Amino acid sequence: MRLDRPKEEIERELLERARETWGEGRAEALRAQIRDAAGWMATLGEHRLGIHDEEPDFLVASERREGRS
Amino acid sequence: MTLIELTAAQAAEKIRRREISPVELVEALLNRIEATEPALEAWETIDREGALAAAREAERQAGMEGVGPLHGVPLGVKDIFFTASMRTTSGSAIFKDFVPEYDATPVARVREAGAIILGKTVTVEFAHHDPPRTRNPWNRERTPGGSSSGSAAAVAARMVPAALGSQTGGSVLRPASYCGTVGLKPTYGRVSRYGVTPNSWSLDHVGVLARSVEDTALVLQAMAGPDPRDATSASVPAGNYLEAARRKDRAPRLGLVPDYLERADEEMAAHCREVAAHLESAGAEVREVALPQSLEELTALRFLIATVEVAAVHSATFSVHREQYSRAIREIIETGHLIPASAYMHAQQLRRRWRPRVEAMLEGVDCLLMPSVNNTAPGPSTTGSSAFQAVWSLFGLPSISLPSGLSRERLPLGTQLVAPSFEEEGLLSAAAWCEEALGPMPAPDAE
Repeated sequence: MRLDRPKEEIERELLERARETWGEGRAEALRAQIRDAAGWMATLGEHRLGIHDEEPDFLVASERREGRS
Repeated sequence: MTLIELTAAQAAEKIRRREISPVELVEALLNRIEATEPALEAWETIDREGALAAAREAERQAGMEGVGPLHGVPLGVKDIFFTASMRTTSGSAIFKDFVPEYDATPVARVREAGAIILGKTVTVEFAHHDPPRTRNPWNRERTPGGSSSGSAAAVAARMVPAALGSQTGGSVLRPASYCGTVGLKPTYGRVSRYGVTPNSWSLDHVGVLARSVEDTALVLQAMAGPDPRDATSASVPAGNYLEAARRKDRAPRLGLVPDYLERADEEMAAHCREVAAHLESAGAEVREVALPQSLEELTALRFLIATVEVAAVHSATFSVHREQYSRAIREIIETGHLIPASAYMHAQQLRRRWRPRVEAMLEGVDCLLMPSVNNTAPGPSTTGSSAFQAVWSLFGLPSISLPSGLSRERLPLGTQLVAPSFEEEGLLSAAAWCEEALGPMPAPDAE
């Protein structure tokens, strides 16, 4: 799922996933939460990341173990 | 001073000198619980017999060589920490009868230091944000905050001098602020989470709620240090936190973060500005420091990571017990399952990109300064917003909330300090200095 899109598009796609995963009733119950999640994803999607950019943070826990945070 | 008013450090010292009896102290606190618990509902389990038996043993050993720094001191423990032979519900109907076979590492360590576990304090369901039954000791119509709801209420109401809590977003500092206690969240990895029910693996921290900075240092001292059973436990040795909290000779350099003042309600923002001015007049150096990313971006990052991790943590249990989950956490789990792995990894990459920028905020200052929360305690249908505490959980930086005054409605106001990773000594020293400059917090009328 691409994140560099308007949040309305992401929201529609998440809602469709919700219908498939949890059924129509639960998808409706999740509308507000899905809207929030789509907003977060679109906000973060404004920051493009390429192949040579940072590795995910939590995977490099050894730095924290040594106290370098 | 009555026994229930003693701080943990004061009680430990008096027990060591045999000026007070641990049995009398436990009995006084149990009586206090009996008087206040019906109105506040801060406890999930009270271990009356176990605590009294431990107190009798502590009394026998009091004053002997080799007793620990918490010898005979009663503590509360949030009900997500495993306690051997004592129920650990995690605030969930699913685990209402679960009795672990071992103590979580933080519990084992405070016991080794001589503490007596008085019981288990109410947690929000799975330390998330469905409202708890616990009420705020300052006003029964307000939330104590969450998820360390019972720990904060019990400490504020003089049921126990200190209690263990945990924070994934703001679950130590927010209830501390709402209830008028001190709340400390150390650096990610500083205290082992082994035996603590997870919320979100890369965000979970163990913390302390108490009525003085010194007490948070005393309990941290007992808990801190490497633990091979927790993969995220840091290998750096613990500092001398108690000595740091007693060192108040240097006025700190503080970085006031205006981004939070702009988002706080009017009374809280004005209060924080007054606190900053007061600390400056007492000798602190205060300058303004801006967030390197917008609070909205940082909040989005935190929520996306937490939502996916909560869904993963609960995946197996949720598939069997879905109907036994409360509304808010159920919605988070179901939504977390919809977010693709690529979005989660994108967030974790940004977390790495933004971490040095956030840490750079602390260059040239000892601590950041801001309100602990955006408002005073709201009504009991919510546990409040984690927006003001969550950035520091996201980046694992140590933070502390100090009670710094009362609102027009006589509700506690809190001020937050944040320090660089593994700089708990500097944080505690600065907090102790500010605590002294701000003066004592009155007690609530909790009965």
